[in-house]
Amino acid sequence: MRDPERLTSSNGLSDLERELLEAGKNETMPAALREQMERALGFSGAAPGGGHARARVEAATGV
Amino acid sequence: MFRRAVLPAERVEPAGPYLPARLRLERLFKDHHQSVWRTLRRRGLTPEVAADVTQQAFLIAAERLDDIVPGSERAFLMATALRLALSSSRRERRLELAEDMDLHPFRGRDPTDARASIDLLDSILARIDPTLVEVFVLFELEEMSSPEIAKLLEIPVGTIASRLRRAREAFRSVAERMERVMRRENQGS
Repeated sequence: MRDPERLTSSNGLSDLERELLEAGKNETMPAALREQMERALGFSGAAPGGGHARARVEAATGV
Repeated sequence: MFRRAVLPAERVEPAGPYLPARLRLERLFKDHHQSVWRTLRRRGLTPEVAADVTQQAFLIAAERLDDIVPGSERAFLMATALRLALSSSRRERRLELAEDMDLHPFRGRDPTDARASIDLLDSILARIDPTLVEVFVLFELEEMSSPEIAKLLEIPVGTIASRLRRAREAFRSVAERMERVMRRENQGS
C-alpha cells in the first residue's frame, strides 16, 4: 500500500493549517534542556553532572 | 520562541551494527532526540516533562542497545517514549480545554510567532482522539512511513491508513472552526 502525500505537500490546505503543521514539524527542544540531558547521559563535550543517569549509561555501554 | 532549520545532526543514517555502544548511543541521541521530544510534546507534555521522558527512553535504549536492530532505532525510541508517557500519570497534563472553543489565548495571535502557533496546534490536537493524534503526529509531523508506524504501534497498516484519514478530517475540521471563530473575534474587536 502506497503512503498518501503528506498534508504539507498537498494543495488545498488553508494558510492556518499549513502554518500550524510547519510549526509542529519545526519545534526544537530548548538548548538548556538538551544540554541538561546530554550532561545526564554523560555524552562527550558535556560537563559532568546527572550522576545517576550517567552511571546507568556507563553500565549499559560498558564505558 | 522556537525557530529551526533542519540540522545536519538530525539526518537519519542507520547506525552500523559494529559501532561501539557508546558511539552508537550518542549517534542515536543526535539523530532522534528532537523527534522523540517533539512527539511527546504533541501528546500534551510540557517541554520539561517531555525532556524527562525522552531521557528515560534513551536510558532504556542504552540498556537494550544490543536488542535494537540497526535501522529501527527511531521506532524503538518512539515506541518506548510513547509507552512511558502513556503509563505515567503525565497524561493528565494534556491540555484541558473547554468545549466551547475558548480562544482567548489566541486572540490577536501573531502568525509569525512560532510559539503561538505551537500552542494553537496543541490546543487543536487536544480536541482529537489521542489514538488518532498519535498516528497523525508520526505521519504528518515526523514523516514516518505507514509501515514504520504500524510496526511501532503494533497495529495493522490498514488501521494506520484509517486512523490517518480520520485524524486528518478531525484536524481540518477543528482548525476550520477555530479559524472561523478567530476571524469573527478579530472582526468584532
